Amino acid sequence: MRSYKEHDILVNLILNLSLSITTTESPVAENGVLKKDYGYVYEINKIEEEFETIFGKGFKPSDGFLKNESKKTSMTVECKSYCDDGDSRLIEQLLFYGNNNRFLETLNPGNLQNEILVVCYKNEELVSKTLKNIAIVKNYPDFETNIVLWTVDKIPGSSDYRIEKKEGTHINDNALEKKMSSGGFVVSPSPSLLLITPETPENALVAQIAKRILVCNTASDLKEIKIGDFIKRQNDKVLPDKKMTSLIKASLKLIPELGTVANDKIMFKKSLRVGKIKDKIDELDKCTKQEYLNILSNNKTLGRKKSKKKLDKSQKTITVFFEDVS
Amino acid sequence: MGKIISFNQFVSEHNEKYIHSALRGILLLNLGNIMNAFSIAKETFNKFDQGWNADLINGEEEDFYIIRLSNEEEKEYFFIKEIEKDKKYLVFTYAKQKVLNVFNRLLNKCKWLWKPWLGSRFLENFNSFVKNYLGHYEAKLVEFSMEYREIESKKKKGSSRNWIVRSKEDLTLQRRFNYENFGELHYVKRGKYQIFSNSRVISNLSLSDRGEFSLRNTDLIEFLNLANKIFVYATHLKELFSRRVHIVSETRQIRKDKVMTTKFEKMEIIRLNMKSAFFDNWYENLLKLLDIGYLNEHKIILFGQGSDGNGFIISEVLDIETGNRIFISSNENNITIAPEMGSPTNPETISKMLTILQSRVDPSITLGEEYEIVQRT
Repeated sequence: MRSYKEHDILVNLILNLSLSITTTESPVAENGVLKKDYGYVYEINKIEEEFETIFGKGFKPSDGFLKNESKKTSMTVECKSYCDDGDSRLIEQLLFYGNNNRFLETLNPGNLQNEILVVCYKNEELVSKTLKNIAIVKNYPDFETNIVLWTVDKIPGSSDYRIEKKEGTHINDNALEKKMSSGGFVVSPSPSLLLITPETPENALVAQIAKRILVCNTASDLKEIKIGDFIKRQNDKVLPDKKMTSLIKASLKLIPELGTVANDKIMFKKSLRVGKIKDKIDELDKCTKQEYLNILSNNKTLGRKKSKKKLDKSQKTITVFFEDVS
Repeated sequence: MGKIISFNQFVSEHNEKYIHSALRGILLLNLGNIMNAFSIAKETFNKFDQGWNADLINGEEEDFYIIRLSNEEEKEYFFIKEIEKDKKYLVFTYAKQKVLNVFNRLLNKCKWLWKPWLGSRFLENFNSFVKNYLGHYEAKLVEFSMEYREIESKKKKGSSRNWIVRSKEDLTLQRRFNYENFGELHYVKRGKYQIFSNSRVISNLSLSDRGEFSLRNTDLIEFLNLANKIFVYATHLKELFSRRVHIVSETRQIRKDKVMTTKFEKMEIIRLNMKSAFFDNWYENLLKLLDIGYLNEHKIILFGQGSDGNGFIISEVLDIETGNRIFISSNENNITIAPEMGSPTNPETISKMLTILQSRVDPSITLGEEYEIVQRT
């Protein structure tokens, strides 16, 4: 069973705070308190090819945006499950979110007042390192964006999490500031949706794509589908089309039981060996980065091939043996 | 078959001549035209189903059809009454169970056609359902047949056993005994009932949790009345099974560039409350289920993901029969079923999943407040 990544839990909790969830039991939103009571909506940017041309290749977006149109404020969310002293990546991210006008203009139309929300686990070491990095960023000349740090802590004996404010002030939202200063929120994790995120390792992405090819094959009577059409069906992709295409090709190369690629089309296999496909997807999901690179570089498909024992010519079958004896 | 060509003739012939014979049938829900579904399915069926041929015959009325299944030795007829256009159908037959199984194979080849999920709680509480909706009748539970599986032996096929039960409490005690002593989980597959009016038995009815029924000594007009009420209930469950994530995407032009953003508006989920679960170790049973990975009999693949020690698990479920993908997550208090991004959950997949959870995790699993749902109609 693959581990549910700590970073994913943080993103999910924030999503859960700002998403209305309706159940069959009660039509009233049970979670989504940040949306319901404070007006924040979770937004994720879909990086189209054009988006990459604005910010350059390899651009990774923030973990989400919380927008409040009525209070004319927004929060760029960055979740941290791991951090080092003087973590150059976190410092670069915070500087980018705060200072890059193009980024703010793109994601905050209408000149919403933006602040950066950093979310991390309530772990002394992690919190102190994150605070140090935030302090470094705040000392940069010309950096004026407000930064707030929230911590997430699992409530012992329950599956719920407590989210509290550790540092900073929500200067644009008094009601939220009051709430976060007096205990914060208690949230249950929601079912995961954001399985394709920029943080997901490549082997897990390829495994995820393989699952979707399998579903696409069984959902329709299609014998083939254009790669472009397949990509359009993936509503939660935040990856460029080129990257998606290479992931699709990799998954079909590693799991040929799903189908093949020909003329930019996925050609589905007619009869599916489901058990074998499942094992291969699991193997792909669990492998480390190094193992994945080895599989790719050695140009192999997944799964151990059972070595067929070659019959030793000197060995004789029982019939032959008896013939000899007679 | 004789000359049965209209539904009214079929009903009056049954009530006059065949009322004491066993009349079997199936409640069907559909998302489109049943004849289109059958005409597509029958081609593959006639090709592959060992000598059996299916023919479609139009009845006298527009909403009455007949399907003839025949091979070299036998010929049997299935009478289909459309209750609501392109949505609800009732199938009747005097054919033996063996031929009904052949018909079921034809049914399985029809896309978007499914037997409604009623659930075992519905069968247990069938007497109160009848009392609520057919005030002048009473139903008495006579017997349950159950499918059981030992938890440990994954490959063992389920077999059924019949128990004569006097009350719901008897059923509960029997289940607990078998679980504690033999590690077997059960779910109700079929309930047999006697329907009374003024303390006189007027009908014998058996009903399965997937809408298959069998009648004896039953007036068909009375049965249609009851079937209509069951349809209302099943349709409501079907609507509840269809859950979606509401996503709003917008594309903005920033100078020369185009940027697409997505907002998650709402997520509709099914939350099964496990606070009053039947067994204390239901959570371990769920983990065992996720470890199995592939349930061949249901054509379901489970990709489990657990978090490190935070008591929260999530599993991605692929239904390779319908091509639907759902998420199941759980903590100590509940099990949640959520749809994938963009497309609604398929009712068939959810009903399959609920049946699996009932049989392998905890028999108490149900949508809850079922009767409240019915009363809202």
